[in-house]
Amino acid sequence: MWRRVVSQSPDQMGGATDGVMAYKLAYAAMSELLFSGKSLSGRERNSLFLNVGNRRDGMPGKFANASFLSGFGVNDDTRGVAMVDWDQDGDLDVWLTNRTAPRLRLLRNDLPKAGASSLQVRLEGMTCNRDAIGARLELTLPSGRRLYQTRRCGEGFLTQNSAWIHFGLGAETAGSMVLTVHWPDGKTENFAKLTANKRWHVRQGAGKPTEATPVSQPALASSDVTVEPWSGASRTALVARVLMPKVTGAIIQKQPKSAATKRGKLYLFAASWCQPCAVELAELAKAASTLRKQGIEVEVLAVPAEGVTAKEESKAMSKLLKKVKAPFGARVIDATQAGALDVFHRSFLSMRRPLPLPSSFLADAQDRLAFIYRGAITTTQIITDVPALAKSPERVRQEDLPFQGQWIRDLPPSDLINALIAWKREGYLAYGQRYLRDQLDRETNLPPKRRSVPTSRLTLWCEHLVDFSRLQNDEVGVVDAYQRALVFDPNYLSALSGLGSHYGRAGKITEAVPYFERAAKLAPNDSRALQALGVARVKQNKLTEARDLLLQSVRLNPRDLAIRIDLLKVRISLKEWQLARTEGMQLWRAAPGNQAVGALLPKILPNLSKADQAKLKQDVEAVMRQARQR
Amino acid sequence: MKLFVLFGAPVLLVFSPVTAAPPAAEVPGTVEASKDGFLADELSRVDAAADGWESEVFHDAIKPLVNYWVAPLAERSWDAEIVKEISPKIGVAEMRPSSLTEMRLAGGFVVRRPQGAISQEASETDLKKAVEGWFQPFDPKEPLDIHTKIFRVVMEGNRGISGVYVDVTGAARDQGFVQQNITRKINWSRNDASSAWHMDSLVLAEFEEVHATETKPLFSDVTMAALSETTAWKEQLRYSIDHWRLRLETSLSIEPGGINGMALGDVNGDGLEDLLYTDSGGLPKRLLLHQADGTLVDVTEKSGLNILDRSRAALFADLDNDGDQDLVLALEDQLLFMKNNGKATFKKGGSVTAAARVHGLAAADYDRDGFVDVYACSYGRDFSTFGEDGVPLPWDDANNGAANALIRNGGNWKFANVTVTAGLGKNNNRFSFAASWEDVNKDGWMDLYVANDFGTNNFYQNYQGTFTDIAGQAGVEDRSPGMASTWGDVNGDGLMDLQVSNMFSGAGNRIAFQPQYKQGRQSETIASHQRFARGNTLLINRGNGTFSDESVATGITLGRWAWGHQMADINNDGRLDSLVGNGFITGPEEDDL
Repeated sequence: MWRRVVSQSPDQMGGATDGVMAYKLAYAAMSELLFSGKSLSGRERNSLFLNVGNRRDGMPGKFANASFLSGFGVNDDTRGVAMVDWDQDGDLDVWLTNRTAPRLRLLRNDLPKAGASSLQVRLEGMTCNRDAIGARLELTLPSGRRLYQTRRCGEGFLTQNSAWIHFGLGAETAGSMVLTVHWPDGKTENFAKLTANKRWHVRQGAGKPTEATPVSQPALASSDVTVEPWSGASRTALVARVLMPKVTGAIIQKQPKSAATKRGKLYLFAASWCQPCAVELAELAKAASTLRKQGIEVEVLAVPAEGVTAKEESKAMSKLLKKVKAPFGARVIDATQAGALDVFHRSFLSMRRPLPLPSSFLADAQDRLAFIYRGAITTTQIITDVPALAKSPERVRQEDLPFQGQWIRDLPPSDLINALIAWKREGYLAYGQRYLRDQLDRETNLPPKRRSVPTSRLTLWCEHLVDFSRLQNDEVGVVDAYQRALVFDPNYLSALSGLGSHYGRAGKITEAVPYFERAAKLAPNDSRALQALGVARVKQNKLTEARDLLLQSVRLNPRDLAIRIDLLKVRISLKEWQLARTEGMQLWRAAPGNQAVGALLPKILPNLSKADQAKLKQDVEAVMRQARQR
Repeated sequence: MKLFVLFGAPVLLVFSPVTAAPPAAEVPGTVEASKDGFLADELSRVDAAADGWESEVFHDAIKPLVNYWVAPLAERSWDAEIVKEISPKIGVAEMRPSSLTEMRLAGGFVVRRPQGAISQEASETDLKKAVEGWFQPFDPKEPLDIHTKIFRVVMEGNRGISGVYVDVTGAARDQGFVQQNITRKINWSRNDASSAWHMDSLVLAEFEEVHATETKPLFSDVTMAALSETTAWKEQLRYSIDHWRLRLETSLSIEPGGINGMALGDVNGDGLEDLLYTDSGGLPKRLLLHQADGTLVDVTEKSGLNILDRSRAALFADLDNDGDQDLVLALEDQLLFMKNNGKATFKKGGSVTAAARVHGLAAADYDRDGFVDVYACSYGRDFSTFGEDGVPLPWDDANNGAANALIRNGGNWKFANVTVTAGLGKNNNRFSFAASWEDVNKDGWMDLYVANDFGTNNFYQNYQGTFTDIAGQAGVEDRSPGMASTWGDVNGDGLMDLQVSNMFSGAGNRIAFQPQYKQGRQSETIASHQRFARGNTLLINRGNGTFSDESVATGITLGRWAWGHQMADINNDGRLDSLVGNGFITGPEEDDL
């Protein structure tokens, strides 16, 4: 993390943004590695520091580190620490919330009773808030020593401590004490005659404290905690369903005909070389007729081992299917599909582990992925999950997840963006492009009112299609993707700019200009759109118009060096030497040593008066000197 | 004239696929099918050599040598000859100072520290004798728990120095347990770049020994007795969040970070404080009632709190002053105010859509109208998203976070977002984790401290209901990865001091101090990054409106990758101790990034 992420963070924001991308990429990569199951500062033990008293100057001395001999040093990826005298025996016990198992832990304080005592206070406000949150407490001990506490509500990280205020009293067990309470409404009140080893109720205006009846508790037995070990075998019900990618590959065994209405399809990832797969296939074969009656089609996707051809795997799988009498459709898939489908399944999970064999996907009647089963799956589980295939996302969320309860917030939109990002990152470019085109074709062919996805999502998908195309240097694909976006939204700015840029780069300025004009008209406050049109105007040799557009663009986004450099070039072309000088110097100060600016300044220089030339040279050097000193 | 055009092409996250050997099957009864690699470039750079960090290569080389020393020591099967074999010329200074002073603390703790300066002369070559001296306070028959952390490396050519934290814990020779907290300096050399490193000398830099003289450790784990019969435990809490990450899809807001909290409060008025556990999306919040025998009973279903939306924090407070404990529950972007009927059953009394990604909550009556108000912290980035969205910029002073919210309780279950009118809109765009209220200047109005990740914290002074950020002038900015903060009178002078959780990073301490790190960087940034690895902060209130940073002097920086902490008196001596929970992510894969 430090080598790759922190070290690449920019020094400050504003001005140059060079290197920000590398930092962001490293940050994203670190997140991704954590999603894939790696550790970062894991197995760290909790720390306990004992206050040993003050130094001579009244400042606290060096705390003693008693983390590990005290029983506090558990390593659970702890998040919250909360204090409470749980067993009401006069010392503070600790609750911990953790990331790993157990996610909740109770550590009981077994402080010996001899030598140090305590008392506890629960406040009740009458003219202030009832909990007296914000009250300041001062306890004066018989020796005159004073202790200070505040009644708070919400302390530490995501935790709330006990409402009882705890005062450790040291050796001062005898004698009575005075409690001064500064109530949150500004009133101050003294309560006398508190004694040690008791819990006290202190009510605002009551004049004296009352003793709380202690609830005497038997000691809980202490023991090691047994937790469930982490297992990669799982069932995941998808609320946000996404269309399965089309599976292709040579057919090993044909899908038998079925009279039942199709309710779903089980894609079973298996291989002839995988022993557990043979067991799984035999199990499912026994239940074949049950599954068929349920309307569940089974398709075995055979994954060839490395170095094995599809043909060889096909032959071996065919043999296996016959041996276990599995009457399922089967085809062999190539490594790209196996990898892409693995990445696809991970994109639904925040723990992204490789897909084991066997595993299966259960899709609904529209061939949208509905369940992921990592590891072997029983027929009973499949039958249990079949009714969910026809349910609305709301009902799936209510009924088919591990826990039932209330959902307060609306259901998030079903989306495939995560899969797209993952495919892009992992290099499944042609695959992702094809998948996205299938998706977009479906929506394009529907009348706008019947589309299942809002326009803003569709245009976003088109943006991803642009990425997939661009990453493959597929310019035709880029144009296609932008044009698809304009079908959904004729005023989609990014597509207009994108198409303009495409033609601009190809030197087809006449084709480019109408797109830029539409973009600039739609977004008169978008500095990029104005910049693009401005640059196009330069190419059309309409310099004054170009200058005005670029000037407006700079005003909208004064930090963007590139626009300012474009403007500077136009100033030079228009021979606006004084303005060019001023703006050129401003740029030089903003980015000392910038090569583009460095190349432009000499063009301005000869057109200035002698005095201005000298001044400019002097200023340029001064900026460099300062930069070097830094 | 030719213009170069920046037709904005988006930059994408691209990592070329590689073919990696399939890992061993982690799902019983399966084999690994995956053929694609993952994040090839970044993965290759996990190896320091591939990333061109010589000092980290040095670290990776000496770490096993340190462990080679330590492992047999822990097992009590250590042999001086074996060490001599890998470090023929080794000399050591005193491994445990001969002259120690003793301090006795309540609870049977004895703290021993060196009297005067520690000898730096590495003249002792009889290792056996030196180690016997080191382990003198431990029971010689019992195994030891030894951990090392290399926190600093300096390396030039064929010589190197490492700073190592060593902690040794075990049964005492007499009664109880002993923990030694040691900082060692180790000098290394090698013949040439291709040969192995040798330990030349071991010198003691710092030494502390704590002896707990009671027969049992201070804390005993009673989790199983208290919880193991509850539904919450059986179905949910005995599983790591990693377990649920495979079983709940991302759109349900399950997250890898396990950012879960808890609230304590007596919800049924029986004099015993109950516990609410907040959990990730898809996992119910759990209300556990405290029984007279100390165990808990799960009443989630009938409590009305069986809410499945992601919640990171909750607070119990009497929001309507009717004598029972109501609940503030933070959801992703709203606060739910739940009314208690006095018998642990809750109904929605109000809600406010406020901040995004609500993390810590802290309540106080900021305007003194008799109703408790709530401040909600918003973190700028969601751990469950990925890609470059929301990456803190820059790392050490990120201002691209989300806005926190002050929610005013107007009485009668009416709540309103008053952040801006109360003056809290200033400097309100950070990655806030937690906040804590305290009337620091004792003017009767509650001031507010906010702990922010990736940069400076806020300290808002409350002047009769209106806030001003005075973190800079008070000296409490604590520019570091802030996770949590608490107020407490650490030195007993009647003034509230401040502790802030930050992460301590061994790797950060090694790397950010290298000359290589400094290439092309501004010196303020380097200092700031170094500070980011320092750890927890303790700020002592001077009483004149400013604070003194006593973190290093008090030794509390080494609280590891800290999250929550509390300042609490755990041995009843009238002094606040510091308890720190820590550790970021212990994943199924052991290697630490």
